Amino acid sequence: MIAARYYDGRTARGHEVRLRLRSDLLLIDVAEGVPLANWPINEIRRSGSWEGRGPFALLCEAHPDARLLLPDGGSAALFRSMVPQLAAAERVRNRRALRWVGLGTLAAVLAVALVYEAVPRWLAPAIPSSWLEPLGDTLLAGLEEEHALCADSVGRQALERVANRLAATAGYDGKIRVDTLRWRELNAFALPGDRIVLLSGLIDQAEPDEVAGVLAHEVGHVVNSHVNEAVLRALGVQFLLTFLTGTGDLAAAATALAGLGYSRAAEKEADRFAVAAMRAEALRISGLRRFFRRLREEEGRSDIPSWLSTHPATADRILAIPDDPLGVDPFTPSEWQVIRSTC
Amino acid sequence: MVAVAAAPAERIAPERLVYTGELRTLYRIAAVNLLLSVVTLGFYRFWGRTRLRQYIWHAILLDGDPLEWTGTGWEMCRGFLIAAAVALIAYAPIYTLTLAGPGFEILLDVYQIAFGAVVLVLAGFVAFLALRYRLSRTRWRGIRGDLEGSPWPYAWRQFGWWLLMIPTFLLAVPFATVALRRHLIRQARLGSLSVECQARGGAVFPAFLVSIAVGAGFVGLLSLLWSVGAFGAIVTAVLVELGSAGSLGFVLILVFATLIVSAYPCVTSIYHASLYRHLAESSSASGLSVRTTVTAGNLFGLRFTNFIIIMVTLGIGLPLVWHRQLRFFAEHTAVIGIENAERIAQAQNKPTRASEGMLEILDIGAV
Repeated sequence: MIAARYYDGRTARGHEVRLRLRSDLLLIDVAEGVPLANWPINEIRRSGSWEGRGPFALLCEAHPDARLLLPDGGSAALFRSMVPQLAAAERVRNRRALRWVGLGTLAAVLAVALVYEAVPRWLAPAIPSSWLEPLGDTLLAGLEEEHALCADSVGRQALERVANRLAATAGYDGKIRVDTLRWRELNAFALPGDRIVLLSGLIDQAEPDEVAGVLAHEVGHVVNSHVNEAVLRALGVQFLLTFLTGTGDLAAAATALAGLGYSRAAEKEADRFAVAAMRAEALRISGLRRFFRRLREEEGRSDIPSWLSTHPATADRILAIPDDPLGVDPFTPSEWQVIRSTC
Repeated sequence: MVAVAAAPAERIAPERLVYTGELRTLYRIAAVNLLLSVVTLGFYRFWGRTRLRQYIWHAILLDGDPLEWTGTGWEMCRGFLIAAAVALIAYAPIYTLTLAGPGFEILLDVYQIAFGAVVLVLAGFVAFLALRYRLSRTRWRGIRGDLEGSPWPYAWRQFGWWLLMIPTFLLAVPFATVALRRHLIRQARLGSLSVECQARGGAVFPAFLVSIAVGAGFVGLLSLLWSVGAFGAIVTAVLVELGSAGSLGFVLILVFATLIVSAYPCVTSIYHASLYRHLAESSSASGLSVRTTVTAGNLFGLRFTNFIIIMVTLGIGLPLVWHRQLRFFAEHTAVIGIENAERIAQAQNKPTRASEGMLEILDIGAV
């Protein structure tokens, strides 16, 4: 016999009651043998939290508004020992919750893998580059605010001729546009919408065949859909973040797009493309190798560790490019003169 | 004699609100929630929050009986998913216009301004729905809470008050706060019990002005100390130069830092204590009323210590801060006439289905 307080769910008036068990019923009596309510044992649930002390609240699924309150930890423990079904039901619930957490963790890992790796890789080749042209234009316009565009039709034509001939060796039918920015960095990158941007630092410091090698490498990113992949990845991550946190910061999306990085595997693929395409066009391959050496010297001087850099000029990357001095120059001397003097 | 004196005191004993929570349990729940939220990309947080509320609600005893949180994690998760879907649709034009290339900047700006205006109106709507959700999932003695009526009057009121803020140089703040709280208090229900509230903004306006004056005084004192501090630093430098290292500069900087740190909780405590007292004193519900012993002094003590705890522990002290807040408000709040609670009956309407998902989306912040 346990003393408890009973609320019938219709008013907040409490009833001091005594609890008795009879087979599968909990009898709630106001006084000896005067019944107030009967709860089927299997429908009794703990209501609210309980950490082993303080009042213990119970409800019955058949009367969801009514409450039974055991006043303290002692009577709660006594009740729980009398009704082992309660603890058993809790154990089942806990096990089920644990299973859901496990499934949720798995789903989370899967979602990240899908958004970050699989979906961009599957979808990237299927997206026509023309769809991404406006995005490329926006990004280039953003860069132009900080670095002037070096405009010259002869230089641009020469660079685009080389880029598109290299792309054609892989059967790529898009039209690649090449721009040069006044920016004293030894670098180049590809933008969405079949755009390649060379920086004046590269053109000032490197030889023509090095520039052609870098161009071939960037064309490799374009024809292998690495740019589309990076855009999809950035959008996917942004989507996931919007969905998870509920706040969509689109400025962050634009920043993420601007910092399009590729995986090491993509870099190696672009290198392989560059070598094959230059060989097919009978261009001199050793330029790219020389450029990577130059890049490594530059990196040696800077404090940025190579694993943080998106274009690490690692030794194995350099060694993978044949040191083949044969082949023709990519540009005529007058073209090179124009390219170099424009910026 | 003693028995005679004690009897009436016992009858009006105001200790009707008790917080029985344990700090280590709060920590255990918070730690598990954090861990599981991380591994599930944050999705566990709805169940974690449910678990935490279940514990906290159960630890608050009113006249010996615990409050009860009946909300579920799935309910909150579902509310969030719906809200996130709405947000994604609302963000879609921004995505599209960003991707559409140059030339759409003006359209993008127009959309973002319109978006901001809609969010301003929706803020009140969402806050109302969130409070309704929380009240409708709170029970005491089996009786369910609720927030009556449409959320729109509240949303428009809040929007209107916000529009008044700039032309009144924020002097409308206490009037806006009291009017909006009064609206919510009048709509709040516990079963059949509704609350009358006669709070007026004018009653807390003096405290608001004192807060501002104290704040201004702080700024003045700080600038004074700053100049003295700079002077002190020079003096110290000269002393060091002369070989007798003084610590005057260090002491001044310490005093300066302490004043800065204590300024905000101190200034707001004056106003908030007055607000809390006034709302409590001017609300009553058929024989039930709330009495509070919150003062600017003890509220400042709570906030200042909590602030220090958060700063020193870098957030690890958060459960301790919750614990202290709950204990403080239970200690300083008494429900008078609780015996009249017997007359409260269950309300007949159905509890709301909407949860507080949108609140999270609009980033208004919730426990």
